[in-house]
Amino acid sequence: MNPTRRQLLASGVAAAGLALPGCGWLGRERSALVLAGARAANGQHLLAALEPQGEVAWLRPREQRAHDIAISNDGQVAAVFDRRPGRSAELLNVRDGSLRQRIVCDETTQLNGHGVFDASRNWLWATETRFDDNGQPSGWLSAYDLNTRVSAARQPSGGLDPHQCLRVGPFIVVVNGGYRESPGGVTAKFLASDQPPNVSWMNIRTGEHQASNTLPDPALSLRHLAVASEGQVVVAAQSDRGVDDDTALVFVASMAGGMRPLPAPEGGWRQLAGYVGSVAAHGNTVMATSPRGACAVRWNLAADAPGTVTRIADVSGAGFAGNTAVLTAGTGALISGDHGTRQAMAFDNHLRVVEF
Amino acid sequence: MPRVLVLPLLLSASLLACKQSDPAETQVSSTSFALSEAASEALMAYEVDGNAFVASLDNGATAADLSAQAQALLDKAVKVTPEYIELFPSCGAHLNGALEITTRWPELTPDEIETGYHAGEALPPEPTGSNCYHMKDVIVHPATALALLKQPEVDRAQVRNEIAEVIAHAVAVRTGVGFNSSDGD
Repeated sequence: MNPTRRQLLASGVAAAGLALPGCGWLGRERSALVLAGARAANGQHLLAALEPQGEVAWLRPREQRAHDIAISNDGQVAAVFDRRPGRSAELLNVRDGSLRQRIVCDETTQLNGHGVFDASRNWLWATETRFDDNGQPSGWLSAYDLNTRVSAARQPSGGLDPHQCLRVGPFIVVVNGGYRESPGGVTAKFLASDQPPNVSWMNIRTGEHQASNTLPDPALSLRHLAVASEGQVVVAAQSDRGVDDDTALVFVASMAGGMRPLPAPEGGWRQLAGYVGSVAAHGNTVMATSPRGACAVRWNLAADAPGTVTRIADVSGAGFAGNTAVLTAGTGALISGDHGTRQAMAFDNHLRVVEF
Repeated sequence: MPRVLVLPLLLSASLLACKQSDPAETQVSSTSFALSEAASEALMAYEVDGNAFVASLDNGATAADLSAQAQALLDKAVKVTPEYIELFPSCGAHLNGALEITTRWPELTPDEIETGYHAGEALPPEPTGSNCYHMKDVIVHPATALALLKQPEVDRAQVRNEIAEVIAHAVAVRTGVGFNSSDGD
């Protein structure tokens, strides 16, 4: 019999940080799983897979805090990225959490926590920051061939600090956050005026840069993405002006049409405390979360109306299971539609829903 | 088994996708996933009253007047703490330990409060990576101010620092600083 979540966490095996296969109830029929990085109460980092209603399917101990997860086109493989500055990504079987392979970067390369599977090849694209001999950073979109286990492509990302990337039609869209960093974060990062944050559109076959959108506001770092049903690219930002900033933080971008802000949430942008942790879209609905502002905001892209605000402490992960919104929080909250559970773990910024 | 809670209808209405119009929204109070409106208002009042304390001190208020204001701040902190623990259960032992200062401060020196409660040597440890210290400081700073104010010679600059500093901690508690609050991710 496989150990339960409580048994795994109580055994101390998880605390040892061993790369054990995930544990779960194989063969059980599930309609969907929510995958999210998490930290157990004993401090152990995990990749957690739960049913939207809260039942734990499996937990996989990790050496580093996990960040985002990319799901393969057939829904069988999850690529789990270290939180930035990361050095590795693990490819796991979605159904049981067992390890398929691991990508590890050399010391000059930092994974930035996000990636996406190629549309037609067994490649994994990832956003990276590489440092030259003088410690100067540059942004890259790199592809790893999962068959040959070699680097398959590497292209400039169009800016500094590339963060989330997603496939959008014939493009991979990358948000370049714009922070100039030092290796290991030795010196404080800052938004570089000569290479401002942007949304870059990359050729989906080669990864080559095609076009960029920038904002006139030099204090906003663009970081997260979602794609709505009609291909609208939703972009979320964080502000360097601090928690009292009242400027727009969520935009819709198009390759030719620039970027336009969504209507302010009810009560104004200030309640997001200058920070959006993640964004998700389904149909015309957009959800953005602000863990610093302890709120989730919902918009209908078809309506020019203020976003609706729901108060949830330390909320960050956002996604959809069918038409149902799913949210996770650092408090252990897993909220699926009108049903919520509290898990004995703190969830990281992002979640992915896999539907079977 | 995970703890299962039924969310407010407001949340249900808010999260359903593809709605052309919102159903009637029903406000149901819940402290399960966020601080209640009452707790948020208490923390906002704490921030306002903290600033008023600093202004009073700068305008020459007496130690007795300032003590009354510091006690009011402490009372607000005590009121909010149980909800905060419900929201962040891993902070429970640490914060329940901190609450002992509400009765113990008269018998402790400011230095003993500093090492035991502000630095935390008298408290169960704060779990690694947690942010319990914001709520802990919201409790401890007014108690420290009370202890300072009953000294034979009151160090008014130190009293001012205690309250001026704690306002930022109250903001952090109210806005929900936690596991996912660091930037760049």
